Amino acid sequence: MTAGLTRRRLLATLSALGLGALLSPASQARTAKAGIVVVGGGFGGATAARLLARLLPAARITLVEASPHYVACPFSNLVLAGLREMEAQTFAYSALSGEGITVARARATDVDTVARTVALDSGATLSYDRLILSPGIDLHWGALEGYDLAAAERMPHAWKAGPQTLLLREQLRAMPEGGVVLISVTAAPFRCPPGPYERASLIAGYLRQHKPRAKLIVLDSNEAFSKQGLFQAAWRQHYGDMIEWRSASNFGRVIRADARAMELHTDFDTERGDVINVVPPQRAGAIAARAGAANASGWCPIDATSFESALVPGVHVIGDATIAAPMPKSAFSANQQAKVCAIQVARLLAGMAPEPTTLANTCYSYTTQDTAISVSGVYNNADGVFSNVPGAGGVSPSGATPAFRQREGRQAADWFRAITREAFL
Amino acid sequence: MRCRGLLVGLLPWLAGCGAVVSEPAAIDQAALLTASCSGCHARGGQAIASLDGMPATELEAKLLAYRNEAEGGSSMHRMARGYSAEQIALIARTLGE
Repeated sequence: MTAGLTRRRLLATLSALGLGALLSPASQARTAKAGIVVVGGGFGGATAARLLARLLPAARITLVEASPHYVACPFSNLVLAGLREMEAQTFAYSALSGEGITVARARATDVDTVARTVALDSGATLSYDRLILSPGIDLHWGALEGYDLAAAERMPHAWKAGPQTLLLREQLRAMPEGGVVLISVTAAPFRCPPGPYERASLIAGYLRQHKPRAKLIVLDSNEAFSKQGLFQAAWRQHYGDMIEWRSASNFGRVIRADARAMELHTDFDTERGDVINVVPPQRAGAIAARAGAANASGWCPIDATSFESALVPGVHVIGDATIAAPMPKSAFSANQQAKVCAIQVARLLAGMAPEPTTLANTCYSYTTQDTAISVSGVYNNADGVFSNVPGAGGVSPSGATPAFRQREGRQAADWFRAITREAFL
Repeated sequence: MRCRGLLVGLLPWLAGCGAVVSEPAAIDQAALLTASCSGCHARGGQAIASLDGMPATELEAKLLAYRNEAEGGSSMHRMARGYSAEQIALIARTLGE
């Protein structure tokens, strides 16, 4: 090992740990006995807990997560299309337990933001100096008429990866040749803005191979969507007229689901499907509202610099649950917000002000099993507000070569490996 | 340039690096900025493009090229345009060797 490598590693470690100002003896003394509770073990929560354990090795850090493992949503559309197995989506928390993080396998049921405690369904109560909520989304049952837990067994949402993903995959496999697949897309905001359209692409890829006379109709409650021009060009190129997209004003807005009849009702029309996938209305995970951190929209307003709730002090919110536009509700955003939030929490505990910075996001979407397109953004978070950095960001070029699209397909796979390693492995 | 607390013990390593990075507040800013990088460019090869072993000067030149190539369409081009030359220099010094 060269001296240069040693210095590089040390610097990288220092920097990655944000140990600059935090290294002073006064800061160390202030943060040593701090209690930090992180609720939710997804890309946001797991990443935040891990970085905090390295930033503040003497602090008590507890990750509250009811499930023994995490099932990742990114890449789950490949599972639907039969191109990937669920095992590749599934991550345990064993690495975190070995890093000084207490992983509490329980559901957080309530938060007392005055006493600064979190109640768990195990009966335990955790006290905190700073609470980080990373609860992801809850499906808002009933917000779409006729779409409830029971309806989802007939018309899967598959918007939380797991059994629903496999149910939809099995339905697609069992569908007769010449059948109709409907995908209903709720009005924004929702988790993974390009997700429904990647899903349409990969399902069409499966159908073209196995049931070439099938039809796929996207009934959209929106007038436009992420990477729309690129998606629609890819659909024409790869799937001909198999995919039909209807905007909200073109009878695309679904107002009622009838799971028994396997029908979706739009403003003026009724569509019957052999397989129906409903991307339903969503809101922040329930614990956010219990903590008083969600507003009437169901999502959580935050200070963009510190990720502290705009509604309740001492509570930080990251990931899909937040109102962070123009940052999207993506795993990339959640992972990065987690790192920035962890550093700000460490600074706050040490008596230092949160430090504004620049953040970025890239979301890849597969258009076929080996080609992808992407959208990127760069954001400032000064003065508690997110803003786009002018002149940056945007989508993949239209008319790019097949090699370019394949390169982005490989980048997507490499991204998944890197981000899951940082969060879970 | 002044370093306090435990940083003093690390000065032999820090001495070979730019003054910006050895300033405590700048180290926190370096950590915040590079939070955008590690989700894709993790250490140890599991990355879109491995940065392991890349000299800081080479990394800075690459990032500046991404930033300045007006025709470039990759996600790195699109993102690099959002960073100042000073931010890129700090990122390169932090992640490069």
